[in-house]
Amino acid sequence: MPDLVLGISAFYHDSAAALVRDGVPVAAAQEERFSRMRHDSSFPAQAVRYCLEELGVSLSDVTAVAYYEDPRLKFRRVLATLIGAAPTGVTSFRETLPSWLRDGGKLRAVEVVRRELEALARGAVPEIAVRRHHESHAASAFFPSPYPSAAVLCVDGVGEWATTTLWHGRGTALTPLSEIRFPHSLGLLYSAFTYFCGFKVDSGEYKLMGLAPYGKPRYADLIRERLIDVMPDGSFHMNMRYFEYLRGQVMTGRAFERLFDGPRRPPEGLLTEREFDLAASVQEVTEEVMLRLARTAQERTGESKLCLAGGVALNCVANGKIVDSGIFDEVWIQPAAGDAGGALGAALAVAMERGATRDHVGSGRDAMSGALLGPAFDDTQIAAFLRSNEIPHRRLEPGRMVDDVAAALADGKIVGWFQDRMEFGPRALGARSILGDARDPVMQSAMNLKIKFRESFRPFAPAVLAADAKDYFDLRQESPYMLVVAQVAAARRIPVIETEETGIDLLRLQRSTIPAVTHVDGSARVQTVTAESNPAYHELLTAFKARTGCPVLVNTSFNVRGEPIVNSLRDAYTCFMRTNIDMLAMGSFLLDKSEQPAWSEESDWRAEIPLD
Amino acid sequence: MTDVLLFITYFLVATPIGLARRLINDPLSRRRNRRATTYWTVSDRRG
Repeated sequence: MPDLVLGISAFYHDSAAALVRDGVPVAAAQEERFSRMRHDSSFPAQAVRYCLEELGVSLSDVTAVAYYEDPRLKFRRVLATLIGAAPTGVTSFRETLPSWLRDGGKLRAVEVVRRELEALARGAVPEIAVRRHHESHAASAFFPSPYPSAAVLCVDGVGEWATTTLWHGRGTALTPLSEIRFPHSLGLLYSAFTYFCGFKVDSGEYKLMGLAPYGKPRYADLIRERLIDVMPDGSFHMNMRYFEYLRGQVMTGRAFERLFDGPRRPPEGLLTEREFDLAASVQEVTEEVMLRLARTAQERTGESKLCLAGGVALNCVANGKIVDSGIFDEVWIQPAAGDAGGALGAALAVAMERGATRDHVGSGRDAMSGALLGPAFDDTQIAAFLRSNEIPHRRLEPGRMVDDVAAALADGKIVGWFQDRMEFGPRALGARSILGDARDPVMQSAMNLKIKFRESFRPFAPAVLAADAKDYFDLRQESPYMLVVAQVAAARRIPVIETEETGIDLLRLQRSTIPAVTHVDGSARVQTVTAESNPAYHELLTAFKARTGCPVLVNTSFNVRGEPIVNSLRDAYTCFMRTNIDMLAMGSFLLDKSEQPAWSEESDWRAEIPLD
Repeated sequence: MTDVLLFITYFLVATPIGLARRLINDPLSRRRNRRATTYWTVSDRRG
């Protein structure tokens, strides 16, 4: 009898459900993909239903449900914060407390989970176990990793109290070693700068990271002197006088403005050199802390492998620095490093306690199935969808389809690629991706403006055949989940004579033979693709290489700016028709934009999707 | 009258704050310990 554990994260950001069978993740998805609301925090009813359907089981077959954090412990921290801020925090007090204490409020999260699961009417609801936030992160980082033992580091905004935790993973056990507690938090530091630079907290951090290479870290010393005191062992203490998040609903206040030359940038306001430099500065400090934390992790555990999770593990530039440093032989990062992964981690933690074994260890593979843990659609379903909506298409043999797509890509076309099971985690990894030729000098701005309708400073990311990765990137190890940044290899770089270009204009200068994926500092966020992790994608890259000699493609997520990555066939076709994607490959079917009927919508979808 | 008001205010405002101060004992570690060599704390339990 297989032992099934259902993990759930909900009510803060990125609600998700994950199903683990005998300690192996077999289904996982974020609710936002079904509800079409970015970072949906409501109870993941649709994700739960999907997980059960994927395995053909009901809740009666599930032995335990695991919730990813402890609401009572979290509430004690919230209360301590509110009282500690008295009397200035009275507005926050008035706004926050009811959301916790009311019937069905955050304090009663476990009851709500039970109620919602019962409402699904999919069988008897098993016992609901609670695992702490950072334990859930640590479990998601270590248990699916390929390592028999490892140092485990989890860094995020905050869970209940812990913001930074260090663990020793051995076999099926995780031993907590030390932690840093709220309000001292690297994640919240980064979020404060995200907010100050006019981006949205919790979704805009990676934009700040993308901005950093444009600036100079001239504020880094100020940050180290006034905002955060960092010890040689990486532990840190923040000067709360500069931050507002203890008192109010915003991150920074007037003290921060005085320190950093003026008021915060308003959302969608003009980006100036100050924002580039602030981004570069906080990024430098973050990298420094992460490196010191990594070194401490190595010294405290004696391990040669590191596992990472928590929101700050999505800072792939910092991850790249850790990999490059050689402190560890190898680093494995949970693809769903944020709170969605907590659902998976909580389930894994419970599964291990119930006696599951990590059978994949020793094979060199991880247990994430290439992060392809979401819904798939077979050719029968796709055919039915295309026919019932009278969508012009061609059905091709698998080999032929890959060839046609490779030819189109080589011809400068932009292709929507919808294959296999949907990815779990924020990155598209060749299952729900938009692809383009990385060698094309206009591809970056074309994709930015015509597909994503977004600001043009943000670079795209490459996918490369794993076997050829070292020819194109200075990468010391694999990067299957696009969470490590590396320099484009010297052999591919083109020397650039910078004259007066500053800021965003720097992006237009061609710095390598794969300009679409090369950032202004010569770096790229790489995805290494193996035949094992994603066969169709690997075949496509191979066909493209056969045709062009280049094993690299631009891989961006299949969505317009502000919406979640596409999930259903309808989501995919809608995105295809709303943008300037030339071709859509779904299963064995190829759709040509020029053959499609005119697209019209009743309302202005661009006004409806909130900006991210 | 004013005396009574002051008394009540003192009782109703100062006491809770005093109580709160006793409850808190700087659990948010806002004050930096200048003699500390590390800001790590030992994990009491699992995370």
